[in-house]
Amino acid sequence: MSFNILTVDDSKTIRKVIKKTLQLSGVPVGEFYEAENGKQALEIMQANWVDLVFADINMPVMNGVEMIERMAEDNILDKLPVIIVSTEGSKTRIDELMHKGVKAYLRKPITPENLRNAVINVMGDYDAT
Amino acid sequence: MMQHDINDMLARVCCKVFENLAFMFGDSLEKDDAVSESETFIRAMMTFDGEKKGSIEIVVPGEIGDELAVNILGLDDPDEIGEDTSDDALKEVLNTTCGQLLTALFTDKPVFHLSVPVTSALDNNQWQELIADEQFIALEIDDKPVLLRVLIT
Repeated sequence: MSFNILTVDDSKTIRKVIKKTLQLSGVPVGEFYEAENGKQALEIMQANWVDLVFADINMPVMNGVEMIERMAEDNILDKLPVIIVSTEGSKTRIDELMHKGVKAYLRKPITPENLRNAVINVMGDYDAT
Repeated sequence: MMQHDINDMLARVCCKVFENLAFMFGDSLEKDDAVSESETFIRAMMTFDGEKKGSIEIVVPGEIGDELAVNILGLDDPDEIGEDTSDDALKEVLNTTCGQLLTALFTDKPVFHLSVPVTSALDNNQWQELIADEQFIALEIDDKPVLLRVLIT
């Protein structure tokens, strides 16, 4: 079993960091898609099979919150789990995002361990036999 | 909270971010000792808006930008650094520092809107001008000087 993963961040470096951290975490990755903003991410989600989305909040063109709101309006994309990866630490903001359907919140800097735990919490234990 | 206390917090948070994000270690530095012979520097800046408004900046010698990129991406070969990678890496350090600083100063209750960080290139003369600016504080990261400023209104 492997997951098709979409990473949404305006920083190319951070997209690479997430990819590398995923490799180190042992999470099985099938296709790895990248988007620079929410608008590009929605286009990728509509054209490809994606199992899990990692998204930043602050991005130009369309930010992470707008992207999640658009996903909630779509009867296919509303089931696609999103994990937010952000520097923001406001509990109010995190609660607001969870209320909008976000499945988990990882505060940067991320580690392979907390990334793996978040994936297991959201997708189930893919290691379980 | 006095600006001095805010600056102390900024220094602590930024050192921790360099350590956690890039395995680079830092300490506070007297401004007079913030000497660098680098010819190019990278300045990253972003703003925040919420319970308080303000801006935060970091300025580093070019070689720190490269070291950041290598460490954050875990590259074996510095030649793998792309054109914007150093700038991107510094933006991430600033972004993470900003998020952590706001929580440290104002708790995790208020929501802040953070701008996307922007970078610009500076030369050594501009670096000297920033050293003379009282609002900037200095850090030493892996034996190299770094300047920081946070302004809260």
